[in-house]
Amino acid sequence: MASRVETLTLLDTEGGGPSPREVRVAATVDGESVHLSADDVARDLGWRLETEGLCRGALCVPVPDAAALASGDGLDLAALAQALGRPLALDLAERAAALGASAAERTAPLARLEAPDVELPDAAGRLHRISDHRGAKVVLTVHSSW
Amino acid sequence: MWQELHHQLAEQEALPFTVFGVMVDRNLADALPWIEAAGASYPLVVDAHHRVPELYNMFNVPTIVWIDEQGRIARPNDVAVMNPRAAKLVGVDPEAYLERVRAWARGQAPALSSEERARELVRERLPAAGEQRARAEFALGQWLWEQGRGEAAARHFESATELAPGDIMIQRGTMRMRSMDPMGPEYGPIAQAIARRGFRLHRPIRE
Repeated sequence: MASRVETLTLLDTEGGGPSPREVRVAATVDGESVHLSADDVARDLGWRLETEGLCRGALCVPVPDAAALASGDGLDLAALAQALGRPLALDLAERAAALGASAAERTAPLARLEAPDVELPDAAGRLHRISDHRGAKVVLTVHSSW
Repeated sequence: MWQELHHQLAEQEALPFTVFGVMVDRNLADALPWIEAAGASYPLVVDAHHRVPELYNMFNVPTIVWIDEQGRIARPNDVAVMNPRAAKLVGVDPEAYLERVRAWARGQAPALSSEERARELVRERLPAAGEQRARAEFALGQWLWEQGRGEAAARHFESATELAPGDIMIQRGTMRMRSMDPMGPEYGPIAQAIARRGFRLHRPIRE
């Protein structure tokens, strides 16, 4: 099987910054499957495959099918997304992918009525957070030029 | 409307209150005419990557959320428009809406009848797996567009539309990245397709 190590741009949309976090990871592409360097995944996403499952710091997620996830020193990208319950958008031709946030991750604060926080720039480039206004009532108004 | 409201409550009455405005646009250039017209003394930010719509599960603009002093959602996703014709279309009374904001800011009335009502409204519209998949496709599409890969980007915007056919924020918000005018006649068929599939364009809170 002809496969070679290439660079895949991976967009991580989980955080609260103004744009997705963009990381470049070593990957081997075989047909439709993408294997990422396990070291790059640990360095850039924080997840490492241990005996308990996929672990990031003290948090471990059980992996029911470790064989589908790990091969050699690589991790299968689709299996990784599935194990984390996160949506994956992949464009093999463009060597780019987006690892989204799970519905559960987005649901948790809303179900507790916690206003999610975010940091965004104004027209002058100054960053603002909704949480800058704790202690005040905030009317969050979302519009668009369209 | 928002500047007037913010000025009255935060500046004239000196209440612990602020409007926090977000423009969901692909870049600052698109949003700038609106920002300049708003003349805002409140924070008015640009959200090019749909962070707020994703975190609050918003599917269209305008969407308004009231957040209390502790950072809790007091009144979830709602719609308010000032233009009389648009207000009639959406089915909201702009003056009554503003009066409700003032009463809440002054501590004269709650944001909703009860916190349980707020929970109920949030539960009615929690993000589904398909909507989150659509947002991942949108993020990839937008990144590709930023790299000058317009055709590849369009494929992912189409996938996002299939995954979340009621998400107007994505469908209309990506029109400019697909060389279409979101304010022009090309939006008509898109809106009709959304309605035909059983999705409403606006969902104001009915108390």
